[in-house]
Amino acid sequence: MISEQTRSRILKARDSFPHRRSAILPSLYAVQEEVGHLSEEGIDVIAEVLDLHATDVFQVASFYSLVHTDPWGKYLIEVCINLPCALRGADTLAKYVQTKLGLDGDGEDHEAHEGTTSDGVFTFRPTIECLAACSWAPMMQVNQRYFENLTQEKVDQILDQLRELATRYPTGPVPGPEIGKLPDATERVQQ
Amino acid sequence: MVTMEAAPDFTPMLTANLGKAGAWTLDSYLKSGGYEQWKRAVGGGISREAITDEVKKSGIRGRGGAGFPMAMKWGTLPPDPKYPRYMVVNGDESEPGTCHDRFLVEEDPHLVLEGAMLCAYAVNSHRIFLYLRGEFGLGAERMAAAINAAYDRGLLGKNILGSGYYLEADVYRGAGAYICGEETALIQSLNGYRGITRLKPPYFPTTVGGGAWGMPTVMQNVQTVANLPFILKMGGEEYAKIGNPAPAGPGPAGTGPMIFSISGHVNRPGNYELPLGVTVRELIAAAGGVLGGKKVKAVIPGGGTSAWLTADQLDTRMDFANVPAVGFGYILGTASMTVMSEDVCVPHCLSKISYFYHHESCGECTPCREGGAWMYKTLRRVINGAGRPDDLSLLMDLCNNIEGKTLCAFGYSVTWPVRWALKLWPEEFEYHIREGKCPAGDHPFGVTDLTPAV
Repeated sequence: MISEQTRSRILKARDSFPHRRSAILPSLYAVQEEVGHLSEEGIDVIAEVLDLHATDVFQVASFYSLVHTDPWGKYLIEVCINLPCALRGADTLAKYVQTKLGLDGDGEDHEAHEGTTSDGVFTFRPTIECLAACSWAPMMQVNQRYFENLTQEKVDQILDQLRELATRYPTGPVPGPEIGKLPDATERVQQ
Repeated sequence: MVTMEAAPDFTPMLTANLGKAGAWTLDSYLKSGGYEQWKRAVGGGISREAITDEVKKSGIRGRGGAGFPMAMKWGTLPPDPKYPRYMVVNGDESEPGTCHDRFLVEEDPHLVLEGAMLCAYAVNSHRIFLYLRGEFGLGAERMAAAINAAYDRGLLGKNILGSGYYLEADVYRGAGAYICGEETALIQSLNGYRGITRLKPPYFPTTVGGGAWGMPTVMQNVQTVANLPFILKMGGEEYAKIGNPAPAGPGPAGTGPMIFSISGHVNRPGNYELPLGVTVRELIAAAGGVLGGKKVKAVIPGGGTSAWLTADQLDTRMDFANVPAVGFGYILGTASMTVMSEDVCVPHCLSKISYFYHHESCGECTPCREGGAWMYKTLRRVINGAGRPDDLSLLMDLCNNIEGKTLCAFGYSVTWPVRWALKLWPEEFEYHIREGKCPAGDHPFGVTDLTPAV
């Protein structure tokens, strides 16, 4: 069941734009935040509230990489392996995270490395789209939080804490990672 | 920020607030003289025409990649005031090597917002959409907070500072698609469709039928609008003295400061704000030189799209005239430099870029959708030691059949790096095909392990 709260978020989005269609993307985020992924019911609710056909909603959902119809783990880990990151050892990092998570995948395709751990805690994507952290490579993102200038030790710390958080909150949404603070501006602006 | 030997008199403007504690809060921004130009503009201190005039004098060109003069873009708006106008800030930064827009949005959202507000005021728009890519979780949070703070102080909303002018601003989050950085695709995405490019004409979103919801829309990059408060503060003529004012194409070669994102094999990768027109060599020096004191093999001057400069082209000046002058396929783009040391294997590096474009093609045009995949698979075959003797001519053939045969410039992005790498480093591809192994051994990217800068 999609909650009243999510419904009202969709309604609010509907009235925020010159055309109700523009509310699809914000609504998809709203449903995904509640359910964890885009359920069929969620897509139907969006279509109903926005007075659109379900295919209108689904065609948008299937285009973007951050909204998904299949369930993911509680934490989405993305490692950028594009050229600027690769020049700083991103391939090694991707392999390390993958091994650490106990995921296999030795295909030639980058997609072959994607996967969710059997306990449903982590989904791993060595993502290809540059994540705009090129100068602080190697990096990874956990649920849209940046972790930059990574070393093996930092990765160990982050993953350990995430595992611990996932055990502490067995059901429902999990809080985001707390450690590995974002490098503050002073660190990032070259002094 | 370091004072540069290349530009001893230049003080950073866009990045001046960065590094201060809580630079993203309204109080901090106001303390550093923020929103003064906004108050001056809505307070009647400077008219719309005068703003446009200053922008024209400043010669500023868009920082998003195409380098289109800002004033010229505004000039394409229809004079008829019966259509509502929208102001869109393009924050879908995802060009490989580029990380300065995220930096501005996260660390100084009010600067971006003030620039967008001034731009909206100048073109007589009443609605701003800040389109940020979905991955910018923190950026979207801080930008939304900045907008709320501006509303609370009466800087946005109805009857701003008693002027009668009203302006609304919203953050619109994308959801992970490189192509949405392309103008027409971004508009499709904003309109609630799949983010695919559309057929031109209409050529400009500023024209009726071309923009968001079919209305004239002014779209500017994050860094471009961030320049606006400074242009008004120092005056267009003064601003135009920064950089390289030599005439080139539709505007000067490059006036004003630019944030250069430097990544790859340098000792201190980061964002460096310098006047346009500094040389590649000076930028590498600013970033602490090449990692491990090695020699440079290749430098990408303008994000993944551009062809690569070789070690003997390091004196190229980084502006809108001198980079394209190197050859067809070299662009200043987003001015993000990726440096590769002598240890790298070119085909391996190229395959990373090629995979990116194959993955991020929106799928609208067949040459790019199919050709991109084909190109990547051929390159992968070469680097995996299963290359065939005619693979190089196959790659060139693919380049010829993608380039210029697609709706947007993405087709060029796919081919330019490949075309030039085949021309400049053919021996590396041939070695791969002939020997079935990599000339750089087990570490084709020049590093043996994780190599964080700090």
